[in-house]
Amino acid sequence: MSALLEIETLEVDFAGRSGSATAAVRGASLAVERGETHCLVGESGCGKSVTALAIMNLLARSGRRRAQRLSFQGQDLLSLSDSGMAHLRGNAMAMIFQEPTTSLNPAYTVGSQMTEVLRRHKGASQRAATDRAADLLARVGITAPGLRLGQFPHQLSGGLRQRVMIAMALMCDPQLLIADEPTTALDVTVQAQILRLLAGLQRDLGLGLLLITHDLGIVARVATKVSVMYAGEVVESANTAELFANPKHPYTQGLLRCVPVPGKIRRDQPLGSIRGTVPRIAPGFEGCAFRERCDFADETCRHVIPRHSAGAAHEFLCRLPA
Amino acid sequence: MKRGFRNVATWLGALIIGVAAFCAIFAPLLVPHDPFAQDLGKRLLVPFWMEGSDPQHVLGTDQLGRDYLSRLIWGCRISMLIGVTVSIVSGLIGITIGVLGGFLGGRVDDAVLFAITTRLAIPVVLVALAVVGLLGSSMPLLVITLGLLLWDRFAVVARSTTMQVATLEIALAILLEAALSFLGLGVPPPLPSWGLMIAEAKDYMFFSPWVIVIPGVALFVLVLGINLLGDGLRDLFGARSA
Amino acid sequence: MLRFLVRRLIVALLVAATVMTLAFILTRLSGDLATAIAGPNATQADVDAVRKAYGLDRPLVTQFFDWVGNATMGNLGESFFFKKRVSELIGERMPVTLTLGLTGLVIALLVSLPLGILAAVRENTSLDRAVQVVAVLGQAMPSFWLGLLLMIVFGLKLGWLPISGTDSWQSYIMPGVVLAFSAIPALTRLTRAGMIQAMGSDYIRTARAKGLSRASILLKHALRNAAIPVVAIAAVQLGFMLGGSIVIEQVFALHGVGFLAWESIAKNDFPVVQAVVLVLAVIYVGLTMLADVMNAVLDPRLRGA
Repeated sequence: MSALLEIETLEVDFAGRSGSATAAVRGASLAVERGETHCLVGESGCGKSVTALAIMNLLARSGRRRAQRLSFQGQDLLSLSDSGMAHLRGNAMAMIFQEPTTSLNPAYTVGSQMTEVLRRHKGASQRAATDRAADLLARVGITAPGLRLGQFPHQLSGGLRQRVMIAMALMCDPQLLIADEPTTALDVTVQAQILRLLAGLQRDLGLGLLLITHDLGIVARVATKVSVMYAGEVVESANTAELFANPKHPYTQGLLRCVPVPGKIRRDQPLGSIRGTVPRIAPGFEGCAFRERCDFADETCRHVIPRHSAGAAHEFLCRLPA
Repeated sequence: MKRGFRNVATWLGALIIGVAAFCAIFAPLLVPHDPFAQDLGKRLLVPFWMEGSDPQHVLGTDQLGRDYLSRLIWGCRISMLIGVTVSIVSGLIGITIGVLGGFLGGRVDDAVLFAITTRLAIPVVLVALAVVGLLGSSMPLLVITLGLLLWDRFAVVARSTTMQVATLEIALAILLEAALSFLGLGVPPPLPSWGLMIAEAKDYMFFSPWVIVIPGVALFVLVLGINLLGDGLRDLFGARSA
Repeated sequence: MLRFLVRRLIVALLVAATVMTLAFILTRLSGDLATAIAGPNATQADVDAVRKAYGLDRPLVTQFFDWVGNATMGNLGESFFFKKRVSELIGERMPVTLTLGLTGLVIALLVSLPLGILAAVRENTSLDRAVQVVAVLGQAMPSFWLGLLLMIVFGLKLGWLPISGTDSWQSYIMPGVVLAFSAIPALTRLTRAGMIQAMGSDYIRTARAKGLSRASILLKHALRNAAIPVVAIAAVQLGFMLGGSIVIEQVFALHGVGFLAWESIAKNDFPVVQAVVLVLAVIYVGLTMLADVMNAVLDPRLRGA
């Protein structure tokens, strides 16, 4: 049975002004299965959000995507027409974003924004759609859903708005939910709540969840599988436990040193940092993007880096021996 | 791409303004005939692109036999003069008021805002007409009246300081003067204000449409040129201050 | 919200009062009204009789408070020329001007909204630039000249539309188009800018992610937000149109309030001139308040809930 979402060698370029292009994604590959939470983790600017937008074909006008394979439930997404893609979005594939404050239309009520998705994709009546919306609001932990349906986004707090976004994404029973940094803009306490909510929903509904984040703590808590992204490439991917126990790529190792993950660090280990900053890559770049910041880099890192395997489902892009 | 468009448009505007300014300044030297000289034996001659035209009068003559090209050039002088002087007057008033409000803030600013709101409520054309109607038409009166009526944009903008409004004001002043002259209460005849030329020609327009087309085109092109140049200047300065 | 409206109302009343004063001053500018009314052939006795008859021999201050007091209660005086109450005169002519203004506004919106949306959707393409060119041209156009041109082309050469009078609804088309021309540049620019901003916003990205149709995203989600300032400005533009109708009404011989003002200025009929200035100003102020109300109605965030 094919994976829910399969991506192989996804590349995304953005045409800049007067000819300067940016290679935002340079060969990302990952797969999301049903019923699992796959985390795509990396620093800001590494291309993880762009990857999500590319999957949903929501890139800005100046963006171009290419891939050897981009399929959802076995269906090729690259050759799908705009209307075909629109049919899938909000329906079998749903996405929620980072900024709940601005992601809802201020001119319409919560209820109308939720019901329109169901009516659009399943032709449901206003009545049926409203009932479902109320159900889902309750599901995501919102009290007095009837009241909330009639309210406008500006009347809700950030945490509530994000819950509404999640409920809205679930209106048509999606198989895949992509969450782009859903908790980053929220208070720490609310973050934990939302995470728990997402994990719970994923379990109960058997969703495939692609969770994008820069926070390794989140990864440790909810992820089944992890893909680490750097400068547009997936540099390492593995099951969560394996990644934390046995990181192979110098970048992953550096990341894990930087972040105090509860239960995974030793008291006598100093918190590390990775020197340098994430570079912006132009198309045509060859070799390892991390070489300027890597303690183990040498001349051979300027050439194409092979993909190594370090056990079951554990892959990484580095020339260093396993 | 957009910048390219702006460049063409801006240069077009500059060109138009350049020609207009040249005509305005050197009008006495440029006119082939005296713009006020009537020749009743040569009334309503057609322009050069139509049959039966007189090579002495390239753009034909009006209903009193006055050479159209000469009146056109002289009218340019009037339009430019109006545009510049009204803008100076309204600019002085508006900038003073606006800066006072912006600088002193508080009650003074409230008063300034109130003045601007009141000024906006007044129907400008009507009031200008009334003033000129009551006090008789003359150039100085027209300039002062328009200056007293058009200062609001300067004030609004002086409160928040940008620069390209001047061109909008000039364009507006020119258009208003033309409208007033068209209604007979602007520049006094026989001065060839383009608006007045159109008004005088109105009675003949169905038979000799060029008499209104030519000055109208001139007005339109002049104001267009000012707008284009102004937009270009705004892009230039606005972009830098952003 | 209520407090806001009350404050605006107070400002509106103050503006009306100021305009009343200014209108009064305006008509007293030329010195002796009685001489002007009596005409060039009048004797001194005639002039004195006129002065007494119209109460112009009273102190200026008395005349002013008379005017203010009466105007507040709706008595705008009596026309010297028409020998009628001014409020009646204005009432007779107002429907024409209002029809003209509304026609102009409707035409302007019918043109500006689609053009603005089109330009925004095709941002930076030649279509966008063409729309911007149209806006620039529209702004440079002398309205009275456009009116005359339209008259020549559509009235004379093609004979489709009547060139004067108000006999049928077709009479309002050409003048309406000319009026619309004055508002189209501003409204189009505003719509375009608003749409560009709306289309780039996060909630539109969400709408796309929900798989909604193009039409729904554009018209239901984006336009709904982009149109808020446009609607408000449209109300204000209507105010300008009403004020500027004097030129158009003259060109097309439409007997509206503007035409009345024009006639009255020519005949030195001061009560009418005074009153028309006041009425137009009050209407304008009313429209700006309407614009504020519409802003609040259309934007839930302003309702202070």
